[in-house]
Amino acid sequence: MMQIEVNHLVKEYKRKRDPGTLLKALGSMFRPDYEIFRAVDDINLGIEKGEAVGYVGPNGSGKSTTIKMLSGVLTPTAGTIKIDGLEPRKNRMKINKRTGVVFGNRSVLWWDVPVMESYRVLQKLYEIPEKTFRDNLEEFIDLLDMERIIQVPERQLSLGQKMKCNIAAAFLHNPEIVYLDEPTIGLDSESKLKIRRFIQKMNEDRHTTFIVTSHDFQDIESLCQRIILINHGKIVIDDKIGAVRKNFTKKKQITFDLADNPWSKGKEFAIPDVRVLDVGETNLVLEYDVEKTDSMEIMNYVSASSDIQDVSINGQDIESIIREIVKKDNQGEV
Amino acid sequence: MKKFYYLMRMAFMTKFAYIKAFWFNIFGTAVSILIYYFLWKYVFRTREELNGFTAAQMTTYVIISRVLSSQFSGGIDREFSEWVYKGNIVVELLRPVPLLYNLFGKRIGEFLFFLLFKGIPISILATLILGGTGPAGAGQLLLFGMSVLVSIVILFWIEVTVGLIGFFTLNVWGLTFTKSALLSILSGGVVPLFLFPDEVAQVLNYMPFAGMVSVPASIYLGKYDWNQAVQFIGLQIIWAILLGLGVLAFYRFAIKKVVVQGG
Ligand SMILES: Nc1ncnc2c1ncn2[C@@H]1O[C@H](COP(=O)(O)OP(=O)(O)O)[C@@H](O)[C@H]1O
Ligand SMILES: [Mg+2]
Repeated sequence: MMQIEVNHLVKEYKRKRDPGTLLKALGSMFRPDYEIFRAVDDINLGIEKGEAVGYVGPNGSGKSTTIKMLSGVLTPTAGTIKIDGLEPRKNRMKINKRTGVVFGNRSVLWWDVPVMESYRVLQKLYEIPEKTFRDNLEEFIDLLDMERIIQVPERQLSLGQKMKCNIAAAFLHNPEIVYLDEPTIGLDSESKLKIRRFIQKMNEDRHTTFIVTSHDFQDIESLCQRIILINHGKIVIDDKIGAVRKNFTKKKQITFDLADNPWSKGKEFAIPDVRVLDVGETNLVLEYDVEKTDSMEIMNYVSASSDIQDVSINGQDIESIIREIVKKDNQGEV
Repeated sequence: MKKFYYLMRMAFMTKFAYIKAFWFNIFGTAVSILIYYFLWKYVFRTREELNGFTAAQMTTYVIISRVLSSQFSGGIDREFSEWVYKGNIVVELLRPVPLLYNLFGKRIGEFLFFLLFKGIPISILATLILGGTGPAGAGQLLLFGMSVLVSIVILFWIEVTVGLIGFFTLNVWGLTFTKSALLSILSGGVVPLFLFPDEVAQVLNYMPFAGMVSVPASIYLGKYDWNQAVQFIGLQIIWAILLGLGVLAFYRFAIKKVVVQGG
């Protein structure tokens, strides 16, 4: 059995339609004009214990909505969710004890009191044994470098410090599953790095299952083995990151270091579908379409007219791959 | 119980963080006590007693009613609805204790803070300065305390209801305002219930609102005999249970419709 099983999940929001005129706005105070908006549209998922899944998609594609349904806060319009066989909506307290949730734009801590006081309350609410609590706290403080911030009220912390405290809070009770919705939004690269390392470590040491949504593809690449792409509420891709990269890389870059570069002296590059990105006295950067040509052909061609000193080939980064898939999906091609 | 204690403690500490604002709050209550005190003083210029109340008793009524009804404008409803409005309800729903339990802990914490830092000191000071009467007896004082305790449960249910309506209207500012005004009037917080027309007063006496000001104040002043006092407290308890059941049903219904705002 999968740890998380989602079948034909749908969420529709009722949205008030913009009334247009003031008169109509007055009318709509009494009889609001609603339209149905389908934010999550027939999603199926299976996630094993210990998996780290990147849940990506453009703004408004339905990521947060999915997370809220998985964690039992929102009621699905249709479809089923099973977490270890339990329906989150109906077993909210049980599920809450076994999961941790981090929302990049919200805090689980109490705003006006020192962070440590909030942790104390969380310890009692989650019934965390004193020893577990102490050990976890010590480890987290060390990993996230929080020594000096836990005695400070949350309202006096910076965004990055707040996020660290919230991420630590989500792990205090040794959750089996953690949902992270944009955990690094708005943070500097130093904080991002610490948070990433922390999540990685939790995944490795404790086999905590993760679902991470993020705009930052470095987050996804460094944290996740698997990527799920959602667009307009529908899953477009669900695969290992490596496989996505392999299957969807359309263009590669090849960089030559040449002893003598005839193309810098006006020679035409004769293979079609190859774009010259940069050309200098001793270097040549090309981009080619993997479906039309391959590196061997280019290498043969280049070496026929020049002496290759060094060569390197780069695939597309995952961000631009995803961007292209989304673009195609929006045009109805995938 | 431990969980409840820690939730209460958190509410207490949060209140402490805003102690400066609290001084203004106390000042406001003190001013309103003075205003009502002088109003009644004027009334009592020409008479010895009104409906069995002496001037000193009326002063005590003013103090108790002003202090108790100063709670009506606080409470958890505004924050609860703000959770809904700003979407933080999502975090509160993810806590491993039921939302209402969480809220009740918070409310009781705030109530204890109110008692300790405002209710008790202001009442004692005002009684001494303005010359009110003390409790009719030790038994009355005890029953008065019980009545206030039960009333806080009733008040809590009302606040939850107001907050819940926020699930649907997404804004409860007007509602919280109406709530505190209505409660002040219906509970006897503005004028004693006996000043209402007889039939209205009769009905109001048996409504849950009376339990928040009129009943405890009357018990304190010895206006009810022992039997009446116990009966009124019993009635309050019944109201607390009935309202609780109703609000719980409404809560179950509303929570299914929770729409969490914002990404
Ligand atoms: N409470 C709501 N009421 C109406 N529409 C909503 C609500 N919450 C989200 N939506 C809409 O649902 C879609 C998906 O939102 P969301 O899940 O937050 O996207 P993401 O997290 O992927 O950016 C968006 O188009 C958003 O406008
Ligand atoms: Mg989102």
